[in-house]
Parts: sequence; C-alpha cells; structure tokens
Amino acid sequence: MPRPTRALIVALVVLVLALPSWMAPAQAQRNPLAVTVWFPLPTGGPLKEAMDDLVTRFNSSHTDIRVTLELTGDYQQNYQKLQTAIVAGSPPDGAMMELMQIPEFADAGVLAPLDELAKQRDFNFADINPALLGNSYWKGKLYAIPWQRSTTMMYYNVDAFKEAGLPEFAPPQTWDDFRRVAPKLVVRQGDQIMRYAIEGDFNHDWLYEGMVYSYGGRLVSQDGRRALFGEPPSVAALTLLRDLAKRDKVLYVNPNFSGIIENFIAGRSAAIVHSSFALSIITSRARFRWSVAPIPAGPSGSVLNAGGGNFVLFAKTSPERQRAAWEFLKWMTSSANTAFYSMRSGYLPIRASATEDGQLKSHYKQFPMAKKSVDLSFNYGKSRMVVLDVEKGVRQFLNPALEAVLLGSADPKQALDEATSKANAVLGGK
Amino acid sequence: MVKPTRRRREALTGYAFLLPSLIPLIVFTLYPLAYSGYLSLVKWNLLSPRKEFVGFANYTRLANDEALLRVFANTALYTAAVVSIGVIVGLVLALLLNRRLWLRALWRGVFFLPSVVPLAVLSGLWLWIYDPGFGLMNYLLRSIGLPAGQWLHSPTSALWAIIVMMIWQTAGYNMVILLAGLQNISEELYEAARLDGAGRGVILTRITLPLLSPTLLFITVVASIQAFRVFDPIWVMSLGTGGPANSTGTLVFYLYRQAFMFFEAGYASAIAYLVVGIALTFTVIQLWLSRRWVTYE
Repeated sequence: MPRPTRALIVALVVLVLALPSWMAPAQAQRNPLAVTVWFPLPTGGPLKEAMDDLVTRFNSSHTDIRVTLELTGDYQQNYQKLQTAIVAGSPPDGAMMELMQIPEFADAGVLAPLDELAKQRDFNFADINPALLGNSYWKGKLYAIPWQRSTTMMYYNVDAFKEAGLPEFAPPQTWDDFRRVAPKLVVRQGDQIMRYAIEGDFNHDWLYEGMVYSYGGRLVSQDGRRALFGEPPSVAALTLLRDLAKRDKVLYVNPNFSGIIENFIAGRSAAIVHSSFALSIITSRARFRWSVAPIPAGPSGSVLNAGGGNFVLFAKTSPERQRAAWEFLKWMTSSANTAFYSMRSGYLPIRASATEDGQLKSHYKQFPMAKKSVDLSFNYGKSRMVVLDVEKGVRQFLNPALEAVLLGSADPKQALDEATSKANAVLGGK
Repeated sequence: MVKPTRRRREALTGYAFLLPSLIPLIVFTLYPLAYSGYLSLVKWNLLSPRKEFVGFANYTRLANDEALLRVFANTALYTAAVVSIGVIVGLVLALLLNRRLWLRALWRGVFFLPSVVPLAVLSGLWLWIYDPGFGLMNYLLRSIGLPAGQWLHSPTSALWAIIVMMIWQTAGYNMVILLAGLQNISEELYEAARLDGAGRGVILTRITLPLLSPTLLFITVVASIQAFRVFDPIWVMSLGTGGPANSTGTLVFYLYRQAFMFFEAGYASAIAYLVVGIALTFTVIQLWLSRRWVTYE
C-alpha cells in the first residue's frame, strides 16, 4: 500500500473514533445511571405503548436515571429468561413477574427485600388495594409491589337475562340462586347446547381457589406447607361445579382462556367468570348490553381472586442501582401513573386514590363498567395462596384432579384426597 | 522429512476448514451434552449456587416414577401412530401424485402446505376445529348425523386429536421426500416389467417398494426421532398443561416441566439422557433391521 494512502486511512480512523465525543458534549457532562427492567409483554400492542409512554416520561423527569425496558413475551417466557439470566449471573435490575412465581425467587435469595427502601423513601402503602398487596410478601419480608393486576369477576349478558325472563340488572348473588335460574338461560337446539348459562376455566387453580375461598376454605395452609384441597369446603365447591357442568349441563368448563371471551362476545354463554382484564376486550367488541357482577357467593360470601404481575428488584445489582430502580418503581405505582396504566391497559389501578384521578374519572364516565369492576375488586378481592413450588406441589396434582372431576370421570372427594396426599409429599417435605 | 511436514500441514488446513462447523458443535452440542451429564448426577434447583452431588439417585428415581411411566406410554403411542400412519399416508399420496394427474403440481403444493405453516398458527386453527361446543369438527359431524366428540377436552381422545393434527401436518413432507425417491427409480425397470406382463400389484410390490425402501427407511428414522421428542404441539394444544388429566404429556414435555416449572435440573437431565438412550436404541434397531429389507439399486 503506498504511504499517502495508509496515512489517509489512519487519519480517517482517528477521526471516526473521535467523532462521538464531539457530537454529544451534553451527555458527556453527566452520565445518567442506566437501569434495566424486564417486562413480560409482547413487542407490540397497547400495553407496550402505555409502558413506553411511562418510561419516556420517567426518563425525562429524572435526568440522573435512565430506565430501559426489555420486553420478554408472556409470563412463562419472562420467567424462563429470568431463570437463565440468574444462572448466568446477570439478572436485570428489576422486572415484573407473575405473582405466583415470586416465592421461588424470593426463597432462593435472588430478589432484593424492599422493606428498607420502602421505609427510607416513604412509600405510601395505605391506599393500595389490600387484595393486591397480599402476594407481595415472603416469610414476612416485602419483595414485590403490585402493578399489572386483575381479579376474577362475572360478566353477564343483560339481553340474555332479559330474554330468559330474569331481572336485567340483578344477576343471582349466590350459587344456590344461580343454580335455580340457570336452566332458563340455556338455549338448546336438539341435543346441542347453543348457549350455556355460565362458562369459565374452573379447571385452573386461579378460578378454583376463589371458589374454595367463597366456601370458607383455602387451597393451602397459611404457612404454605399443607395442602387443604381435600377439606370439606373444597370438596363442596368442586361438587357444585361438577353438578353444574355434568348434571344440570349449564356450566361450560373451558380451559381455553381467550376462547371463553370469544364465546361470551358471540352470545354462546349468558355469563362468564373471567379476569377483570377481559373488560376492555368485551367493551370494544360485545354488541349487546352486558354488565359485571360479583361471582355468585358460596356460604362465605363472594370472592374475586386476585392475579397478575408484580414489580420485583434483584439482589445482585448495586445499592445505587437498587435505589434508582426503586425510584422508578415508586414513580410507576404512584396514583397518577397507576391510573394512566389502568386506563390504557385495562388492568386495575392498584390504589384507591387513583380512582379520583381526573383523566380516569372522565374515562369512567365513558366506560362505567370499568369503574364498577374496580369497585368490585376493592369490595370482594382476595389475595392468592403464598406457596413455594406452586407448580410442583399444587398445580401438578390439583389441576388434573379438577379436570378429571369436571369431565365427569372422577369423584370429587376421592380425586381431591388423592391429589392432597401427593401434594403434601412435596409441600411438607421441605 | 519433507513428506510428514507437508502431510501435517495438509491435516492442519483440513482442521482449519472444519473449525467453522466444529466450534458451534463443541459449544452448542458437545459441551451442553457433557454438562447435562454432570447435572444428571446432582440435585440443583437452577437458582441456588450450590449443586449437591447425589450419584445415580436421579436415575434410580426414573425407575420409580409413576408419572414418568404415563408420559412414556403417551410418547410411545404418539410416536407409533404419527410415524406409521404418517408414512403410509405420505406413501399413498406420493404414489397417487407420481401419476399424470390433472393439476398435479397444485395437489402436491396443497398437501405440502401444512408443513410450511408455523405450528403456532396450525395449533390455533386446530384448537378452533376441535372446540367441542362450537368447532368445525363437531359441526360437520352433526350435519351428517354423527355424534359429536369432546376431542381435546376428554382424556380418552385428546392425545388422538393431537396425533391426527400432526399426521395431517407431517404427511405432506413425507410425500415430497417419497416423490423424490419414486422419481429416482428408472423408467426402464417399469418398461421391462410391463413387457414381461407384470400387473400393477406386482410392479408395486416387486419394483416400486423395494427400490423405494432406502427412502422409506430415511423417512421412518427421521420421523421417529422427531415424533419421539415431540413438545410444541403438546404444549400448545394442551394449553401448557399436558392435560386434560395428564392424558397428553410426553417425555420431553415432562422434562420441560421438571426443569423449568419444578426446578429439578438434575432429574430433568436424567430424563434427557433417558430420551437420548431410547432414541439411540431405536435408531440402531432400525438401521439393523434395514439391512434385511432395504434394497439399494
């Protein structure tokens, strides 16, 4: 290569390397602390847009912190990616996790306890919906703050109730009442059922746990070490569900969560038990009058079981970054921001004060059902069981037992007893 | 002295050319394989920094695991059905579409189509077809006066429902490979046979099938291995549960649950080695059997 050419190349390289420092003098003065937060959301859609808006606002109002959101798909993918990152020794600073997955991480010591941060930086717990806060603790310590939350509730087709000669805006309040009127709501064509009275994924422990609560029981003892699904309240709840599904043929137990919403919208079910999150989908697509109501009550009243995702911080990050991530978390869960996210996403606002937010109030004027569902969550909401090994110790045995009974191929008491003794071998063995 | 150096240099050059494929093989296959072997000897929950050495306890646990027996039976049924029926359907399609038919290219495309559509899309489609209340399958059955079924909602039919979907998905691929095999058989053999007065049946059993046997063997081996480690359709069609009532869980599905939902990394690795062992045994048996009935032209 001739000398002049080589010199030219060297000069160019030097020039290019030096460029960034000329071009960004402002950034060079003060480097904001970079904080990474993982979020179980798909890479498109209204939830992502709402989160992007919030993060942009946070970053522009906090010049010393720069939060980057990384989207990880659904809750299960998020969980696996976090596991992998922890094993590889590089978890993010914070993340949102499905609340039943949190005890595993808290127990393994990979999550940062938040009590100190909450005390130092006076965090307001007072007006957080207590039903949503219950799953934030592990062995007495605070590990999570509610964020993307929902409860179960009942949606009912007002037109279908009217058609059946039932009161339009007074759905049955107890299961006994429901069972009495349910046959009127069913539409048959020959031997085919064109419309069920009620539909829901009662095979799953989320809806089922709510049923057991309303029958006065629990799935697992308070300390998380003893399975109680063989106890009388659980057996009574499952027997009722089995009778509704198999004897009366008024309940359609559908394991396909999105299919249930589709069936309701298409008028194939007069009522469904589903997540409060379904409200925004039903609002935009149902072409009939509908409303929300408490799930019919058992002997211990109506219970709407809480679910969804909570914020956590990871222990491995530096105290400085933990404080920065906490700042983000605190800002995000403020009244105004939880109101904003609720309005845009369809999830519940986590604070009572959020419902007084001006924007949310005018949103409620337009969508009164949204306000009603939030009120229901405050009045009837209940926290889920807190248990280590929920997959291995509870779902592995309970959910197949529920399926077998609701398909009519097993006896409630026998199936639940068997599942209980298998579950106790795992839960009690700790 | 010159010769060995040159030979060595040649060998080095050869290895250098191998590197681009050797490095990924070591990093992504051999190392994980060995590491998984190590993990199968420990008890580890994926999160703890401590791995407790337990010797062969994970392997002895395999022998006493009731649930494993269930998923093993499911896997065996799934593999046997998807491979045997899938290959036969593929063969029939290939034989039909090897003839001069009207719109032959179109039919070939139509039957191959399911193998190019992503499984997630297919599963969404079949979940709807199989819906017991409002699905297409029951609609069709009812409209011709047959009783409707519960399909994915019943422990007795759920696995079969997935099997049918997967035969539908894989038969087109089998057909394409078998078509290629059919076209390799020289036309002269058929001409000679016809001149000698051989009928269609004789031509099929004495010429076509024997000369197609290497392709059939290839398809069977590949399809068996694929079917044996089935995971995605099970996960999607059972909505991540392996249900209803554990009726659709397979070995690899069980492995996944043990590792990523039950946090049993050691036991999951032992299951992985069991899967490898079984797949290897089957392949060896298939290759050994093939010496008896596979004919090479």
